[in-house]
Amino acid sequence: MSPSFHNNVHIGYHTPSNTQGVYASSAYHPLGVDNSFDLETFLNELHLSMVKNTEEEIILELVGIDAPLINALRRILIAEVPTMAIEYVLISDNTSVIHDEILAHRLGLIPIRADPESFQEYHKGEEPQPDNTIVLKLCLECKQNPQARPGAEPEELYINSNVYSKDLVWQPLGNQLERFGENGIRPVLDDILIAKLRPNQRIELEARCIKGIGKEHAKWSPVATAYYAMLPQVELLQEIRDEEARRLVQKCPMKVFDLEDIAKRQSCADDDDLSDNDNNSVVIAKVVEPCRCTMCRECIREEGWDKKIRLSKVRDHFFFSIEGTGAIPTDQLFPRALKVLRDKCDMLLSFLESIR
Amino acid sequence: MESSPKDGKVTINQVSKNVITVAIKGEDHTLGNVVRYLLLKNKQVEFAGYNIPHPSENVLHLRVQTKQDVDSKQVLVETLETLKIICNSLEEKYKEELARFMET
Repeated sequence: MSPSFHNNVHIGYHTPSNTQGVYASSAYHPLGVDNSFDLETFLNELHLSMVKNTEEEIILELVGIDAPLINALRRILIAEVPTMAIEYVLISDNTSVIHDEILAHRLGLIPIRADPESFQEYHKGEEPQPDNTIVLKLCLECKQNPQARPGAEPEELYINSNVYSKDLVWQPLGNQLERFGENGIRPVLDDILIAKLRPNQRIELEARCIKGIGKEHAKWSPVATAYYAMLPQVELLQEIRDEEARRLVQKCPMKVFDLEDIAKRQSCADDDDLSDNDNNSVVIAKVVEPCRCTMCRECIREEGWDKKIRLSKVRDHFFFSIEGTGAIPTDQLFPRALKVLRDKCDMLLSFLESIR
Repeated sequence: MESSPKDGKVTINQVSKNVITVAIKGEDHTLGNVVRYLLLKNKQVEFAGYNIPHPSENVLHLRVQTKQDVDSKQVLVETLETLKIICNSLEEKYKEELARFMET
C-alpha cells in the first residue's frame, strides 16, 4: 500500500495535484514502505457493492482497486464485449424519402435483444447460417385511411405512416425457433422510429444481424456509457460557524454541506446565566453528502477558503456506472467484460507457453 | 531469439533471460496498461512498459525487464495468471452482490 499522503488526488484552488498514481514496487523504498502487489491482501481489501441495479443502469462501488484495472474493464465494456446488430440490409423496395444507405445505417443502430454467446462469428462472404445470422424482415406500405377525419394528424390520415422498430419481424433460420423460442429475438425497444412514409410509399427489406464488437462499429457496443468516478472527499480543516457556515451552505450548488446546531458549553452557565439567555446555541457547518460533490470548487473560490476546506478524491475508491442499451441484460455486462479480459490473458498465456 | 507462433498474432523477442519484448497484434491500451501496472508492482521487475509504435498499426509492444537471474517470461506468465485470479475474484464478488441485491 502506498503511503497515506499519496492516497488522494487533491483538488486545489489553482490546479489539481497528485493526479498520477504511483505503482512501481520500489517507489517508496526510501521511506521503508513496500509498494509491491500482494495478491492475498489485494483480494482481502477488495470490496464490491451494488449501489443501483435497474434495467437501464448498474452502479457498482469498488474499493481497493486501482485505476488501470477498472479502466481496462471500462474500455472492454465500450469496445470489446460482443453483441448482435444489423450489418447487412438487402433492400428490395424503398420508395420512401429516406435514402437506402441512411435507412441501412439507422437499422444498424437499433439494439437487438439476442444472446451473442449463442452465435458464432460471421465471416464475410459466407452463406448465412442459423448459428451466425439473425434475419429480420421489414415490409410496410403506407395507405390512405378512409375513416380519417379531414385535416387530422398524419398518424390518423394514413395507415403505416411511421415505421417503427417493432415492424422488424424475426424470420427464424433452421433450428433458431426451437433454440430461442417464440419472440426470443427482437429489437429491445418497439417504438424506435425508423422512417416516415406517405401513401403509396413502400419499404421492403431483409436485415441480417451478425456478431461484432464496438471496436469495429459503435452499433455493437453493449453500453450507452460506461464510466467511473473516484469518491469525492470534502474535509473541513477548521470549524466554520454562524454566518460563515450559513454562507457556505448556501453557496454549494450540490448541497454537500448542512448546518448543525450545537449547544454552547454549559460549564459556566451558573456564572453568567443572564447574559447568555437567548444566545446559547451555535450553528456549525457539517459535510453531510460528500458523494454529491462535483468538485466545482465554488466553496474554495473566495480568498482564503482553500485553507478552510480541502477537496480531494480517493484514489482507490470508485463508483462504476454501466448504462446498457438492452442488447445484453445490464446485470450480465460486468461478468462478460471480465470474461473478455480473462480470454485476453489466456490468449497471451497460450502463446507464451507454446514457445517454452 | 525471435519466434512467432503459427498464426503470427504474437511475436516474442527475448534478448536475454531477463529481457523480453512481446508484440501482440490487435491489442491496445486495454491490455497493455493493466499488464504494465501489475508488472510494475512486482518486486522482481526492473522495468516494464508498453508502447503502440504507430497509431494506424494495431500492434502493442510490451517490454519486461527483470532483475538479474530472474526469467522475464516466467514473470509475465505469473502476472497474467494474477490478472486472471483478480478477474475471477471480481466475478465471484459481483455474483454474490447481485444475489444479495436481488433478495432485498
